[in-house]
Amino acid sequence: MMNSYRQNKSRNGRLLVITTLVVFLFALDILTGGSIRHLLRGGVVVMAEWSGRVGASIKGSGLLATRASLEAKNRVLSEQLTQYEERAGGFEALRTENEELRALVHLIESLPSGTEGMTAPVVSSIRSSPYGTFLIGAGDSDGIARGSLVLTSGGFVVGTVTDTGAHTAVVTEVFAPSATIEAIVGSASISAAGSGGGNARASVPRALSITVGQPVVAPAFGQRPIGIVGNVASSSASASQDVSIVLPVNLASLKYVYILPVRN
Amino acid sequence: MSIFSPSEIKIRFTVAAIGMLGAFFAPWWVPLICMIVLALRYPAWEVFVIGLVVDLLWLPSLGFQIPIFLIAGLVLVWICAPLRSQFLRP
Repeated sequence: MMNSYRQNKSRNGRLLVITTLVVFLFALDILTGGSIRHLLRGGVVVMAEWSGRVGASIKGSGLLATRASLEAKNRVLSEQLTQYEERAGGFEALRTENEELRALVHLIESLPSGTEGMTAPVVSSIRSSPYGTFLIGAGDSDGIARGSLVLTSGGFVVGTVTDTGAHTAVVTEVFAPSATIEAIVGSASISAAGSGGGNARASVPRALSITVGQPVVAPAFGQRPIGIVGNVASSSASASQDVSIVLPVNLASLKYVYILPVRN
Repeated sequence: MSIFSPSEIKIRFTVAAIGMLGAFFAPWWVPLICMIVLALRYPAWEVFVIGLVVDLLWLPSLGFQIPIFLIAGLVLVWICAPLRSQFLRP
């Protein structure tokens, strides 16, 4: 009994020390302007690159995808097939990347002259963050500043830069969970409440005519579009109608974004 | 079986590793589940570390933001302490 009491006491003492250490580290990070978090985020970029290379080499080898079919063929043909598949996979990846970058070039051309922004890769999963944030692979050293707008290739504002490191930056989604933004649909002014994943909800008077597919713009972002109306639900018993707003692009599939500096 | 037996230590290490990697690459609920499992079963300091890593990685620093995962880690470990000492005798 006494022994168990002593063990519990020593364990609680150890936990208390680590609790203090963790709180100290968090406070230190805040006081030093995010030095610890920038180191961690740099690690994410490196790990994302490594995992991408490993994934590409596994995919290129055809080990997981086509093993059963390759066993049925002779050695020479199977080697050729693997080579062709690897090339095709590589071409497909390049084609997709090229299409995205081409779309961003169209976006840049459509912006007013004198607008100076830059393209940056998305280096983290959109789903990883509980705060509706994601990381991009460009930071202070590339001229990214807090408050910069983050655009998709279609010109939709997907978020704003809320923290910058040397080579990474944190983007907070416009429709992050618990975020609200004043927006305009047609001629109606609404307050959209974000629910994460590029979705938001708003309640508007039933008298207003709102149709699916109508663009939603935000005055705070220079009347740039932030989404489209995805669904309108109303009932005769209610004076208002529920409007679902969606980003017309899958956030999880975003590979590149366009960063528009604050002054633009 | 003691929570310090080799197999228990392996389980604890595995769950903590999943939680740490999950903080970087998996949906946010993966590290949360790992934190809850660890806090319920062990007096695990790893819960604090996972919570700290999630908040340092993903918390936007513009304006005041509550570090939910760090607070959740602290609450989970200290609230679960009496439960653990009651039900999980080493």
